[in-house]
Amino acid sequence: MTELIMTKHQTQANLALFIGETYCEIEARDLDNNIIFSKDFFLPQSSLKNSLNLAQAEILKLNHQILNTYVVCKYLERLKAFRLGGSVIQITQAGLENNYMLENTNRFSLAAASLIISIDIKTSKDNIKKILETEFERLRKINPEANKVVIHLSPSLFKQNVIDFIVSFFESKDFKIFMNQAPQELSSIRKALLNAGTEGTKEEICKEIQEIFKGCTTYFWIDNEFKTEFENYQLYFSSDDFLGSVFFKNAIEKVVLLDIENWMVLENRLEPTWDSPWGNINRKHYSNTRLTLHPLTEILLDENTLLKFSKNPASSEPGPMTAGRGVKSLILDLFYSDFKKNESMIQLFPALENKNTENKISSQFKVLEHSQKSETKNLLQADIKQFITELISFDINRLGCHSKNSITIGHLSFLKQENKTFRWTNEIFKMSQKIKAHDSSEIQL
Amino acid sequence: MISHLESYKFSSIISQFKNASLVNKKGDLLFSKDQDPFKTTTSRLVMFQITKKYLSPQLGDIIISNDPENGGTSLSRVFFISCLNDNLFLIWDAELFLIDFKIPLMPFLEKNKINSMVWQGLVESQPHKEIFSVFFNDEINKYKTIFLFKDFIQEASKELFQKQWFDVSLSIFLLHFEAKAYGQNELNYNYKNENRLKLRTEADEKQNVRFVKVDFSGTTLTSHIQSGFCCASHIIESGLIIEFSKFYQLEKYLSQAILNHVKLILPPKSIVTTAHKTGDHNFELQKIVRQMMKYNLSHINLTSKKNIKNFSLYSTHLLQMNSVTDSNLMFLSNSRIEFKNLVGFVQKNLQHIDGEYKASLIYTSETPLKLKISGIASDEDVSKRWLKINKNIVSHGNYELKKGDELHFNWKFI
Repeated sequence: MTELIMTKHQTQANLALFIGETYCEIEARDLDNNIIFSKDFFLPQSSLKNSLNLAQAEILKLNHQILNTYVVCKYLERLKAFRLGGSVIQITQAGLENNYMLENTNRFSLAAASLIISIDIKTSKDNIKKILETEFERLRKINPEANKVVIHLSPSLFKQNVIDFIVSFFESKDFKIFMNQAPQELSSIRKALLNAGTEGTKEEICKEIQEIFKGCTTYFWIDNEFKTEFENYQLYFSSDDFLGSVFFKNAIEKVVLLDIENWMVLENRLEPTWDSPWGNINRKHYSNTRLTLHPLTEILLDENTLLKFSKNPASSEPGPMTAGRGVKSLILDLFYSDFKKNESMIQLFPALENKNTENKISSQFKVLEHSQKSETKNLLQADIKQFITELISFDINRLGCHSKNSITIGHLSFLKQENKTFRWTNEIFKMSQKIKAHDSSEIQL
Repeated sequence: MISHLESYKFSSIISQFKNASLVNKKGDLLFSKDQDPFKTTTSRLVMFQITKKYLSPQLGDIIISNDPENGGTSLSRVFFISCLNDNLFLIWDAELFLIDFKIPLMPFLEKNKINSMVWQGLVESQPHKEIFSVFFNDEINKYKTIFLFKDFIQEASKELFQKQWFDVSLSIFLLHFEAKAYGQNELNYNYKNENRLKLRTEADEKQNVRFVKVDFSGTTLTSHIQSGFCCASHIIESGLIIEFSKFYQLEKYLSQAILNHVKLILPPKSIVTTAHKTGDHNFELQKIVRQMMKYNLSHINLTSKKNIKNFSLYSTHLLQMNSVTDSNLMFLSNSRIEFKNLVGFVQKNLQHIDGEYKASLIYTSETPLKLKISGIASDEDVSKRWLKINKNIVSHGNYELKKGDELHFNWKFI
């Protein structure tokens, strides 16, 4: 592949990047805020790397170089359905192995139970070397790929020279080290483990941005600002934090998000604890309630041929039939004809213009219609669509949203008769401008 | 014509409640949900009938009670009976562990106004009135949320809608019922030597009527025991209904049309039909009959006799820990362990290795903690599942933890 060579006539630009679970928005603007590139990508069909490469190629054609990248991230959401930490070793106090699991045993684990080295409080620096070498050999046999270590040892219980030795031992083995500052707190244990378990995914994002837009500074939205330094677990609320910062002012108290990967109501009410799939984690965030159904919920027949919705949404790969390669009937596919009228949706799902896609969706729903038992009402495609629209209204109504206190955004905001054009990248640029203006006024003062 | 998907709407409008039922003016169940480990489905229906008879709630009224001898379950669990319109009523229940006195049936909210005398006695006169106030105000706010669905309330209260919904849920029952085997099984279990529970379960069709018959004839009478081990029939019925609906996958459609096909025979004055004045054994007895019912239903549906296993009771505990400042809840069952919080405790030992959970927690607060343990301590798995306070094995009963006391548990999933 020919490497693109920058010319000296290039001018500078900034990049706004929203990385969702299934789609991303990429927009570049020059320093005068003129849009030089803007495009949305459906990630199961165009990977993040390919999408960024395509954007960079277009930007280079226009002789621009990216100076700063501002990211709002929801990408880590895709890890919520998984156990994490398959390559994470833990150093724990003896007697407290896997203690974070006990608060709720139905939650996912954050580290492999077999990759624990437990250390007795009385262990001296002389003994620790032998213990580590023996245990490390054992763990290497279990998982030779392990490359991260989380150290949960309280400085008030363990000698500092013991902790220091453990750190240097793993540094010498090229391990990435995560220190847990409060090992007596289960939330802190989970934070440290989540930081380690998501490191690979975060690094993947950062590495791709850095490799493609060489020399740019990358900022992630955390809490209420763009930051370069943060802990990985904080990324889980990057997009919610961002929506709150954009909308929770004046009379808006609730944001109804109806996009292609998430249906939820965000409220201007802070909650101190995150009830995560891995257990409770102290992470302040806006109250976020998911609606009963998810856009990727599958519509199928149960064993008695009654129509039902899947308990969990389908995975984002290969996505809905609307995107082209999907084979399951997902809720999103019911809105096929609405998407077809929208230019930006056609850009996101080019297969919308393909007659075969329309035929596939139509025949899939015909099968569902005709296979239902006749003892109960047979639900047609139009009935299901109407029902889903009603249920969304039910949920939103229950959460106290009305025209005066809330705003509806996202690809399916037309369901609430709101069709305001919301683009993450547009808002990202606005927020980055504000911060710059704020910074420069501080300098003047 | 409505469809079975209406259950999602019912579910949405009562999603703010953990345990709630919608009924019509006759008390026929339209929809129900139970999220607590202790089930109260039938208790709510009984409470509605008692309320209708004596206080006849009108729109904007909420009647409350916790009386374990009159439809209630335990002093800490308050039942709220409300009218949404003249043919739709909502009953729900919620727990406040600080309540240790009887609340007879009384009007709490009248035409959307709090009854000031009741508020004075129930909330203002309590030593921890702030906690009481938050609890009752939260419940009122949840109730008010329901009225965001005026159109649906109007629709769901119509006779035609209810008839169609009963038809839909009945047709689903018939589909699911016919997909399972017909047959019967009888189980005798002697709990702690003196309490015999005899449960015969039958799933059958006679004269074109499908039914599940549950018969406790032969169960120990209360006059034969000294321990006070007994509970009201609705406690047992709630447990049986939950197991029945789980087995036939009817949780989302449970309505009167389905309940009419469940025949319950509970001998009077037996340990399964005599209310305990504080409901001390409710959770324990409900859990036992649920395990027995589950065994019987599974047994009827066994495809091969090779798979038959003898019934053995497994341990399960609900620990309610309350001080003036904190409220902790711990649930240990066959499928999970769950702590609500660990405030006031320091971990001495807390580990999970090879499916076995071990914990030693030291209580560090100056304020004594009241600990109520409910549930089953089964002799069959005592070596794998036990609870200790300091060095003593503990099971069902009331205890107190003081600063420095240690709570230990060992729990192995079988």
